[in-house]
Amino acid sequence: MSPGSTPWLMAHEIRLSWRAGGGRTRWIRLVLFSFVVLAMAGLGVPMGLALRDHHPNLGPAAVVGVGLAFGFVLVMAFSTSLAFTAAGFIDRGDIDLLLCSPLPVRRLLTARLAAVALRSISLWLFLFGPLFVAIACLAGARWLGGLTLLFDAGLTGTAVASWLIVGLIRVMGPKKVKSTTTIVTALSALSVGILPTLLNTQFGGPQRLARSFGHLPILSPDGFAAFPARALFGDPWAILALAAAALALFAATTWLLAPSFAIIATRSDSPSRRSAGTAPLRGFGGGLFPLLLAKNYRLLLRNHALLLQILARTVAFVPVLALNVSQSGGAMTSAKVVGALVLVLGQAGGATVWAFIAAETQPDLLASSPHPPALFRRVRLAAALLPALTLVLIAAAVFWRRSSLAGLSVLAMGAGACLSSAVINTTARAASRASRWSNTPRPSVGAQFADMIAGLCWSSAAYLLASGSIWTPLPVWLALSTIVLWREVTRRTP
Amino acid sequence: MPAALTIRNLVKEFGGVRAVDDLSLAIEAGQLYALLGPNGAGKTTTLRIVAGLLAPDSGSVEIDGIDALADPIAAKRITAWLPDEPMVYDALDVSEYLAFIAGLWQTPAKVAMARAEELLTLLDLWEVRRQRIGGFSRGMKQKAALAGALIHDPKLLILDEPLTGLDAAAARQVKTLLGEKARQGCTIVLTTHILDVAERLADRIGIIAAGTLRAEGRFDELQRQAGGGTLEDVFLTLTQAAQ
Repeated sequence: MSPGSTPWLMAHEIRLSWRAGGGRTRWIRLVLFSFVVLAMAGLGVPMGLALRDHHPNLGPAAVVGVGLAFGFVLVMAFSTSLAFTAAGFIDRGDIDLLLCSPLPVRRLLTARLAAVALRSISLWLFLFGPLFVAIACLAGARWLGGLTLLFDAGLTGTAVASWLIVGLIRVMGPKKVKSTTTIVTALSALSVGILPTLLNTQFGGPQRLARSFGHLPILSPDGFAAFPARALFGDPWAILALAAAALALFAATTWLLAPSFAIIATRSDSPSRRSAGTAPLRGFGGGLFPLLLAKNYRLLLRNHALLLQILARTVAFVPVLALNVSQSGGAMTSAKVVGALVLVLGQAGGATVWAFIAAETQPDLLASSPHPPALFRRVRLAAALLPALTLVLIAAAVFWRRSSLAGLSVLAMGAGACLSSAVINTTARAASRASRWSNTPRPSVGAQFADMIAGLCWSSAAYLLASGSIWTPLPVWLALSTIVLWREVTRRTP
Repeated sequence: MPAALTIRNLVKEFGGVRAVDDLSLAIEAGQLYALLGPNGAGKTTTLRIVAGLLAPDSGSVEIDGIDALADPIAAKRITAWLPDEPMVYDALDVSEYLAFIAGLWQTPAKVAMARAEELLTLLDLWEVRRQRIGGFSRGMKQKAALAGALIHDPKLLILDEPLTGLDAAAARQVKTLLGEKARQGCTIVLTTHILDVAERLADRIGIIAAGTLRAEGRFDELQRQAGGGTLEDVFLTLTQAAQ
């Protein structure tokens, strides 16, 4: 590879992406991915056996079903690409370095966007690739057409996300773009979570849709909407057509965006310099604890990126709640709904605690002050648990009015979930350094994993308690064991 | 004159590499002491230990008669630390930042407000006191951090590269302020790569290389030791001799 060439730049991009997490995080990620790969391949075995003697019929139901599934993967690919593109253009902070080099802007942009697309495609290939490979091994090679759909979705998602990012930077500047893209990412992920439930409960699923709209020419086997289904069933022309369309869109994106990108990427948010006039100095006086509490709230409330992290992590679990509400026929106090609600509350609590930890950008300043470090930890926990536990109290009060057992379950297990998240996140690794435009450190993968396991345990405990089961203590014990194990792991880690 | 800062036989290793190697020095109260040395000499590590941010492997640190390792809280109460990367909160405005620092060091509100007004005026930050620090230039952030370091009127002021990123006017403001504080009895320890600053400002200069103090004294004493020349000549002679 000659230095400065597109493959050389791509190799650089891949290296940066690979090293984005710390050494340990990288391996934890690999282990988690391996687990997912095995699980998805396992899932593909019964599907492959079922499809072995099955010749797919390209009817309206298949066209609608595969079309909707492809649409959802497209939205998810767009959602992840948007997050990756924002990270690549805004968080990494190396755009100035690249642009001051003598390399053509189009080549730089192509390499960066190709790296984003590769990340997005890899993610979907990791998730669904083993499923299609397992099916193809058992039911015939034509099912490998599903892999090309994942490739198309990743490439198209990256192209659309790039247009959106560049357009938004032009309108509002990079800092606000980061916040906006986080909202769009969270909302698109939420829509993918909720829409299938709505589709099944309100519209009777793809088959009823096919019966209602099957007569439309677009849904015929030769129609435009049939391309994803034809590609999935192994039609080489459909595979080639979709891949060519995705590649053309991607190439056009890099070609057309390059000139404006050079100007937009170097645009920074320059604040206005206004005189304070006769305004007095503010904030002096008061006790130490309220002072520290106020500072923590100020830092978090003025950090949109962290607020959006809380939103994104909470919203990610709302579909689980929606699914359980729809499955319970709208009975809000059912054990399933209580369990799902505790899961959402635990995630909101954990995200809030982490956000308060990440909002502290000057740990050395606090360490050089004449106070023990435990004081700052206590204040931070108090600041984080205050809103999280208020949320639990409100939810418990609402449920209590309908069923005291459901209210008690939400209160006890919701509080447990928030407290366990607090303990796990306060022992997580320190926040990474702030980037140029945004301050979006994230907890370690290990902490997120431990938090998720504990959250699921508390959710199960809430479900069992709301059902009146005597097995309630078991998941509580598992949750507590997870916390103890996590603390032990972090204590032993140098 | 009693010593405001006494370091005895300080040792600090990182993964088998000795960053500070049996370092001892004593600085009298009211002195401006410049600690010079090449990159990686152990200056910042030494200052971080004095500021209570790092624990040494062995040795002792005494600040104004207080054992800083045995009673770090009491030592920190009279110390201020200003690293090369200013410790400021981008999300706070200057006024909120100074109020927070004053609260951390429990300076009475009236005293802190008067001092804040004086420092902000002196450092040309009064007009921007209600603006978020995140929008400031590197030099303005450095000045805001310096105001924060001085708001509790420390007895020992530790500065790591305090003039980094400052323009000529701001550098002069900071140098004037440091000279003023030293005259008022505040002991100042600073590191700098701008040797001219050390030559003109410092009462005493210490030259450190490979974690060890190679030479120490007034500029004229160091000059004699190195056989004459500017501080740059003296610095290079003494540090190269150490290598």
